[in-house]
Order: sequence, then C-alpha cells, then structure tokens
Amino acid sequence: MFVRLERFWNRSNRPSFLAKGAVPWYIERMAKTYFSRATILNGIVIRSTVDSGIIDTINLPQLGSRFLTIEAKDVRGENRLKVASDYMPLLSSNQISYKGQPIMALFGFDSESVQLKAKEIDISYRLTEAGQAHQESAPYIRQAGDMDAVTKAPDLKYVTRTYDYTRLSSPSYYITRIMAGMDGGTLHIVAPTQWMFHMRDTVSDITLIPKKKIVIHRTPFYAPHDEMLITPSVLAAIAALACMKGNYPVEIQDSYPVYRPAMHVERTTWFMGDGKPVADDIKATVDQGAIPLFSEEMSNQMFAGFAPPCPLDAYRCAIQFSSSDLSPAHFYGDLGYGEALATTESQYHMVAQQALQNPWAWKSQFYGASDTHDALIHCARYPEMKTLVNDLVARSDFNRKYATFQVLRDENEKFSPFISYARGIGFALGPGIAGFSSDCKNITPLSVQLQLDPGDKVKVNTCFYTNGASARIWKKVISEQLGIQEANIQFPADTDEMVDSGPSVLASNSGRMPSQIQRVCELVKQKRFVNPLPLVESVNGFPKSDSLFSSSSWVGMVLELSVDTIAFQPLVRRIWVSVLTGRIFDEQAYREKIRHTIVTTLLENGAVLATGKNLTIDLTLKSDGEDVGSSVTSAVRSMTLATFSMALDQALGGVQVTLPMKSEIILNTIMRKRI
Amino acid sequence: MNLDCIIDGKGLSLSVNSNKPLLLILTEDVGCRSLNSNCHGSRCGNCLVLVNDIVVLSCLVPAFRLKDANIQTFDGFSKTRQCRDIERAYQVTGNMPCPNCYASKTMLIESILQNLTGEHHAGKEISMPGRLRPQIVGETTPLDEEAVAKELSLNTCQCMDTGELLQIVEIALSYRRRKNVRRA
Repeated sequence: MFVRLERFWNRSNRPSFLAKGAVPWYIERMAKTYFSRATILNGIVIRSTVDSGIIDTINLPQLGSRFLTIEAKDVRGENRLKVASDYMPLLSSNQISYKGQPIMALFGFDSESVQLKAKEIDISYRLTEAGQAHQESAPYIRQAGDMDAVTKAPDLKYVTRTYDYTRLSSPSYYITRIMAGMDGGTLHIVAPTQWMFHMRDTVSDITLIPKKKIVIHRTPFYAPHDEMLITPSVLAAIAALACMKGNYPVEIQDSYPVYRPAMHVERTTWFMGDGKPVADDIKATVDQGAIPLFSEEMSNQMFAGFAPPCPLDAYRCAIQFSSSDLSPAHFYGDLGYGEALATTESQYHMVAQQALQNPWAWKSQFYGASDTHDALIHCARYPEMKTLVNDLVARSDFNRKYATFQVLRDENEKFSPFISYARGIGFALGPGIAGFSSDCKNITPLSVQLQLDPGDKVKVNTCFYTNGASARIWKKVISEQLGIQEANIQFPADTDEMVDSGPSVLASNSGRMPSQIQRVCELVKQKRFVNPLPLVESVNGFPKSDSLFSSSSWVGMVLELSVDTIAFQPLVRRIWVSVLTGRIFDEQAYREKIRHTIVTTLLENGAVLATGKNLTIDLTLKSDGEDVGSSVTSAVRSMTLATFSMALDQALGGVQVTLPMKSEIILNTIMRKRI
Repeated sequence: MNLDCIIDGKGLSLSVNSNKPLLLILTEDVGCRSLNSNCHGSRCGNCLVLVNDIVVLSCLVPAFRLKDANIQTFDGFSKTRQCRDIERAYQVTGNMPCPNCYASKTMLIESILQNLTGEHHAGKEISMPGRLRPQIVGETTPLDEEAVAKELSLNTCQCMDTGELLQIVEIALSYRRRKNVRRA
C-alpha cells in the first residue's frame, strides 16, 4: 500500500507498464519460450453465487478433451492458504462461506469457449440461514488511567458520537492475468503481485513443488486498494495446478473487487469547561467478512489511529472483530488506520465546538506529545508542524470562514433551494505511518547486505523486489552516503531472475528500506579506508522500537463544501493541503499521488466535486531533512474523510457521520431540522 | 470470420468469431498491453480506442463491424508526436491519470483534440456501437467546457476531477494548434 507512490511512475511520467521496456526482457523472453499463444490454456474461476450454504451437486456439461477442470480434489497439498497466522480456503468443495468464493476453475484453448462453457456448469446449493455464521472474537483492548474515577469528577462535559464506515468496494472489472508454465522441473509464474514471497509459499504448499523450483516473474500493476495482495496468490496456485494437470502452459484471467471492512465506532470524550480533554472511551466493531485476516495487526493500526492527540488522564479503547457471510475484507489501502484517525480528528473537532472554541485555536492550545500517543505513534517534527498549520489556516482563511458558517449553522432558511447557505468547512491534522507495526510477528524482517568491492563497485543483495522507482531511490541513497556513482551500484535482480522473491510485503521498501540502507552504509563507512576491500555488511530487520509506529510526516487539510439543497449532495469546492515530510525524491509523483488520493476518497465517500474550474486543490509540500519520510497516503485519506465529515456536519447543523454519505441522510437531517 | 483491418498502422488479417468484442481481439489476438479492463459494457470506460478516428468502447464493438477499419490503440498512439502534446499537458498541469485509466483518458483527449482542431475527415459516418453520445464536432473557440466534460465522462475512473481534465485539454489544445500552425 505504501510502495504505490513511487513504483508506477517512470522518468517519462508515463505509467511504467505502458512505458517502453516496462516488462523486463526476461519476462518477454520467457513468455515467448514457454507461453506460446497456440498451446496456452485459458482459464477462469467459477465462484459461488450464494452467500452461505452447502454445495449439493456440481453438474458439468460434456467437456471433451479440449477442456480441463480444477476442483478441490485436484489439490495436491493443502487446500488452503496461509496468510500471516490465519488460513483461508482455496477451492471449496462443500461449505460456502461468502458470495464469490472460488469453487472450481475451467480451462480451455480459447477463452471465449471457456466462458461459454462455464455458463453451462450448474451448481446447486442447500442454503443455510442468513446470519448463522456471525461470530465475534475477544476484543483487543488498550487502556491507561482509571476511567471510572476520572469521569466521575464534577463539572466535566462530554461528547458522544458514533461513526459508521460502511463496506466499500473497488470496481471489479480490472482483469488480472496470471500465467504459469513448466520448464524442466521449474515452475515459472508471471503475475502481478504485491507479495511475491506469499505467492511462492502458497503455490509450493498447494502443489507440493519445492520453493526453490518456483520462479515468480512479477509484472507491473497498479493497486490503489491493495488489490494485488492475496487474490493473485490464489489464482497463481490454481494456474499452477492446471499447468501440472494439463501439462500445458496456462493463463488464468479474473476480475475481483476488494472491500473496505465495515466499521462502527462509538466514542465518548470527557473534557473540562475550558475544553481540555481528560478522558476518552472508544468502542469499535469491525466486520471483516467471512474470513478475518490480519486482525491483530489491524487492531494495532486502528489503535494508532485512535490515539488521542493530547495528554489525557484516562483512555480506553476496545476493538472487536466479527465475521459474517460477506466477502473477506481486510486491506483497503491501509488496515483501518485512515478511518480510525478520521474519527479522532472529527471527535476532537466536536470537543472544540462544544467548548465554544475555534478548532484551530483549540488544537494550538492542546495538541502535543503524550505518553499514550507516543506508545502508539512516535511523531517527529512537532515545532515544524505548528508552523505548517498556521500557514495552512492563513492560506485557507479558515478562521473567518469557520466563524461565518458557524453563525449560519443553526439557521433553517439556509436550506432554501433559492438561497443555499448550507456551507461548512473542516480542518484536520494528523501524522502518516508506513508499514506494519513493530509488534507484528508474522512478517519476516527484511534483510539488506551491502558489499563494497575494489574500484568503488557496490553490490546490494536484498530479497526484496528491486526493479523500478524504489531501486532508483535506494541507489541514490547509497550514492550519496558512500560518494559512489549510481552506475557502479548493482542489485543482483537488475540482470537476473529472482528465484527467491523475498519476505517483505507492502511498505518496507518505502518506509523502512531506505533507513536500513542508510544504516548499512554507515556500517560500511566506519570500516572503509581502515579494513581491506571487499567490505561486506548486512542489516537484518528493523531495530525494535518502543512505539508501535513511528511517523515523520504530517498532513494538514482544510476542506470547504456546500450542500446542494436541490439534489441533496455535498458539493466540495475548495481544498487546501499542507504536507510536511522528510526527503521527497520525486515531487511531481508525490503531488499527483496526493491529489489522486483526495479525489478518489471524496468520490468514493459520496462527495460531488464542483465542476469545471470551480474546484481547487491548493497543495503545499514541505520537505525537511534527509530522512525518508513515512507514507502520507493513509494520512491524506484520513484527513479527507475527517474534513469532509466535519464540513458536512457544519453545513447541515449536525449530522450522523456515515460514510459514504447518501442523499437520504442529508434529506433526513434537513427534514428533522425543519420539524 | 476473416477480419482484415489496420491496427496501429499495420494491416492484419485475423480469424475470429464474428461477435468477438474488439477488446478481446486486441488483448488476446493482437497482444495489446494498454487495455486492462473488461466490464462487458459501458461501465468503466477503460477500454477506449480510436476506430476510424472515433473514440469507442472496444468491449462493445463486435468483430463484424470492423471490416477494413483503422484501429488505433494507445500502444501505437504512444509512439506518435501527437501523444507528446497530451503528455506535455500532463506535465505542465502536474496532474496525470492513474495507471489504470492512463491509456483510455489519453485516447479520449486525443479524440477531443482531433475534433476541436478539425482533424477529422468531414462527412465521416460517426454511428458506431460503443459510442454513448454524439461527439463534439467542429472547431470551437473558446472551449465548450460542458460538451468536453460530457465527452470526458466516457471514462468513469475517479482518479481526476473534471476541472483538472479540462485544464489538460485546454493546454494540449494550445500545443496542438501551435503545431498545426507551424506545419501550415
């Protein structure tokens, strides 16, 4: 999720998979060698059409020798994949847990005839009662201080709000193509994947081919919502089984959506008369669908998002995960950090409002480091952040607009279709994080080895995927650290296929890999000109820290909208964004990514953007220091959600935060106010 | 059926089913890499190509409508000088479509530019399956933003807002007109 920023934009600014030479030469060569179009088997996955039930019968049509099926009985190893510490089934032969669960795959020499034949397959189900499958696990709890004692103090005020983030899905019509072919005893798989290590392990577990005999060739992809994380492994395993059964190279095509888990948050914050918060109580429920994955890590990311931004006397947060008969939902650009941080910002915005203070003035007074916050996210650059915020508030004229819209807040006449003054403005501020938490035990740490040879030649050996923009950034870091030309720095995978695809997933390359490279360069520098060459140093994993996450980036955002009182739609007019981060390698790519994230998040959550040139996104980037900043994508997403709900609340004079926002909710709010 | 057509400037003779959509012909038979979507209908707009200089949703155009057609995909178009105008506009505005819709949005903008600069051959039949709405015809100065925005909505990817796209079209148009003046 965090590597997206740099990966897809090559120097000519064209997406890498459309650029000349985007597909590495060895993949082109291999595709020609092993995957001749004339002999390739084309396949599709046949999925369940019911939410929950038991498969009664599968009636196959007359298939003949031109077709091949892969069913649960064809699985040579385990009929399930391991994802971190959890398992999910590969092909179901009996129990159906969710709609769209893979049941079998059909392969043939022509994709059209395969699709036509697939329509003739008749699967009958015995339906089970809906809601039977709902299960709840033990909640994850974090607390500090004595909540009961603190909240019993006299003269305390409190704000209780609920936040609903309903299930969202990304479109399912992007075709994922995965090829598999055998060369001697080696299985070659050409696939787009964010997690090569997982794909190789899964294929090995399911086909019983040793890992060393599986070569993954990664093709470029674009996965804004982590679409290429787990499902490509499922498809690769099915393709590998078909390749072994049919003894032909195969290509499997599939399109599938990814879902944001549904979240319900109930949050109560107690504060004193002057607005100083003293206690915060959070109860969150997350529905991850039929197969909960990464629940522990998700709870860590949500804890980080829920972390109160100021010192408190008492804090309690309980996160409950539940499963249902809906499709699995886990990653959606992040693991819940964005939504959790959005609730924190919205909640403290309400506290400021209840204390009759301007949110900016309130934040300036109370925001600061605390033990509770530091244990979850260690943030750097507090003084610079305050300057950034002051500049943002001045640029957007937030104080004046906020005061004006606040005066109009409780007016009923503002909803007139003729003179619409239903306007609102929101201001939010939050840190960005990258990668998994330091508590995450299920992901093997990433290793980097650097070898300095005579003639200032450097070889970097890492099991991480090293093609593309990430490798360019790493080369730049090494070049600056050791004073060596970039041409003399070589990653083994630059010229060769990777047999071992590496253990890292997601963020390590953008957030942690540069830091590891800096550390290994420091080690080499200490021995350089003292010890004889070659010098070999390695860094295994990331140093253990006291905080779950560390952040070196801040994102501040102001969003102004009006409510269209005829169509009952929130119309976003102007957005001001300030980003403070570490070193930026490609400013244009950074800007584009931030703009894309804002626009996509708003549209996904029910906003309508002002047409033509009426919408402006004023973006200021401040790069500070030489460290490589943590990802800002999730923070930008979160700030967009928070400012959108705050502005909507002000425009409507109080609204239940339910995202995506719908016209019915706006209409009901207006009607309620009229009554 | 045997299909004779020109794809990216190359004359090809293909043996395909008569109802096979152009999208599948391009991805499976020709090996086109820039198309990565198949919504089986006009939902995503990520399969846009130019057929006889008209932008169409290739998943809706069957093979039997393509006899002797001149088809241009992003794979071929990206190598032309015209593509450079649009890419320069992306760079100048600092906004760019996401990788999923980059090819389609670029082809769509090219079609708009061709219409606005009058590069289309006059009197050409513009009725094609896969066309959802009439095209902007003729040279319009200043830019008819409403018509252009309507045309741009053929692609439904939400990565950019209309304002950004209009700005790109405007800048690319100025480059294209300047280039045409120099040529004249």
